[in-house]
Amino acid sequence: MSDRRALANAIRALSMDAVQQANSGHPGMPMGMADIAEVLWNDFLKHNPANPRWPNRDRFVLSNGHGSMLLYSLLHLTGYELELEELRQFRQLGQRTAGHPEYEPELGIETTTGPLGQGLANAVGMALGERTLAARYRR
Amino acid sequence: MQLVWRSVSAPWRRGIVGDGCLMEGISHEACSLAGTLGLGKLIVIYDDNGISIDGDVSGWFTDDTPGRFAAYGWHVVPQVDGHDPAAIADALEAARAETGKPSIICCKTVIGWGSPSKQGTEATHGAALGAEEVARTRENIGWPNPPFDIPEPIRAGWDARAAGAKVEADWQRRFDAYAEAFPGPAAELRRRWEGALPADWGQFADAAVAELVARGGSVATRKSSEMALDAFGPALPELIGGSADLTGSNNTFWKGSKPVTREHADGNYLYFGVREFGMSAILNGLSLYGGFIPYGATFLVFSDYARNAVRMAALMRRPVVFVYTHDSIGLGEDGPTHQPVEHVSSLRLIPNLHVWRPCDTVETAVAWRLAIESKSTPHALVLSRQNLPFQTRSEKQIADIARGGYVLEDCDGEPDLILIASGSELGLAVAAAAELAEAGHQVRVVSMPCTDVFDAQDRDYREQVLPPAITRRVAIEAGASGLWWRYVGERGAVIGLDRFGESAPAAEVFGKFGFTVENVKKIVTELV
Repeated sequence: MSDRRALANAIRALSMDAVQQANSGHPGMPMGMADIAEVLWNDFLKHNPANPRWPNRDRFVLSNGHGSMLLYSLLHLTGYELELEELRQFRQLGQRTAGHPEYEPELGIETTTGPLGQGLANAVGMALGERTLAARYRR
Repeated sequence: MQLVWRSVSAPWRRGIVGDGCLMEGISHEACSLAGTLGLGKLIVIYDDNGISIDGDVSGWFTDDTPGRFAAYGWHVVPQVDGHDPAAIADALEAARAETGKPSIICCKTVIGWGSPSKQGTEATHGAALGAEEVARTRENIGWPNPPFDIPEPIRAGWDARAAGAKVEADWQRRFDAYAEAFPGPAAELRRRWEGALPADWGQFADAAVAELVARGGSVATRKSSEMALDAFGPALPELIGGSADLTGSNNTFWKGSKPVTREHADGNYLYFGVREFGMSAILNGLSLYGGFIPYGATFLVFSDYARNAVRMAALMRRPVVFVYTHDSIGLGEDGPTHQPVEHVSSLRLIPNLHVWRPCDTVETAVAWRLAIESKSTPHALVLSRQNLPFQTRSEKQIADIARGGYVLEDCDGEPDLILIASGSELGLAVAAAAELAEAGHQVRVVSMPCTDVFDAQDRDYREQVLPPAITRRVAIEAGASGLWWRYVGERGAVIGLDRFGESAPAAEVFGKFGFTVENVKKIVTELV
């Protein structure tokens, strides 16, 4: 087993265990996308877990929001302020680990997703925002 | 200094989508526009696992997705093995290298990868695997650790805090250099990132509203909206918006508008094309990105197309401005397909959405101002196609517009009748009140441009406007009547529209459905 696969398996385990604990949720997507997410987050994504509002961060949008445990696993593992206990409390009242990701800029959740396709359109809006800001302030 | 900027701001947007996202129509709207605008920093990763809730998608989704996105003008990376880290990295490199077009990386994956008896099937999609299968999966993927136990080497492999602090610090140094060279733009950018309005906004907006009050004029409120944009816009570089192919009708191209195009992105006006839902979700994305006050317009009747994105703005507490013109039967000849009658009430049902239906230029200006100043509530501005009479107000009345409902006209002494109206029916209420007063009634006219805001006022204020002792009340709004009963009570009456409209000149349609002074007088005589 490669090291990369072991890293990805952490997402798989957290996802299937959290869904099992809640007896509710969507394990298939995070387990299927774990390898992709591992490469993206560890080798490409520019972000700072200590400052989720850093304006120049790359934005990560999980448009297929039912796979929320993928995002919660990533935020927890990379060092955002999302504790293991909150993963254990997946889908429970008052927790930030809701069934679908809910916009929480202090936590690194860039948008609320779940209604399919809208996260994708949000990402288009974000890209458009970056484009126009860059054009206006470039010197 | 281009290099400085490039190093100052080069964030990428990465989205992960599944089969479901790409089946939804909004994916077409948004991705088509993204291709036209050449949004090269957008990278979409398509999780092509061939499964949706009903099972193998071969029965309902056989598009050539790479071909589809190529047709949008996207850069397509097809046939990537989504379980091969090297292939994924190569694809991401290729996507990052393409800066003139958005990229989509089509990854073949196995849903539920690792689950020995369920992977590759819809059984892994929306339910727990079951204790036994979880145990077998652990064994299958070689993960012996108990639930929620992450071994230290794995934690270390994931921890992005040190790298993240460094990447931000590097950027901060470059930004500081930029700020030193260009203090004005840097300060403006910081202000926008913080979501703060310009320092002198309050005075500026006061003066702008005063100027619109002084100008007067009986115009359509869609025109009033343009006048408000003309007045407020020059102070707001963060204002960005447009229309879903109805620019001339929605009156959204204000005098400071400059189109955003593929070649010239330094504008503030967006031609969204005929894409109401896509437009609305893109506006949400602009708001989420930060540094923008986004607005987008269409005909009110097509708010239905956009509705779930409006709901999402409200749920996410993003202060997006939805501009809806051609309200109700005032739209006239285009007929019931285009005459929204249930939409205003329906939008009022969405929590944390402020629906404004202003009656003239002054109420429209106040509504726009509140929408601009909003921190956590989106606004829907419902505007008329047809001209509406300008109302004169005292300073206090102008201030009270912001309370959602207020006494616009009153009798001497105690009223015995209250007419409540909004938007295009306010003028009718005022005209009817004049004749009723001549006939000896003690009439009060309440303008209620925003029930959401009025309902949030303290009881004292609400009872000053609508004293409980006065039970003879008539509400007038050319739309669904249901919500108005709470303001008129059991003994009151509502002149509304609980059926579809008709194709005819607006004045005739209003007449047919009882929006006339004569009918208001008749209804009043029938009150107990």
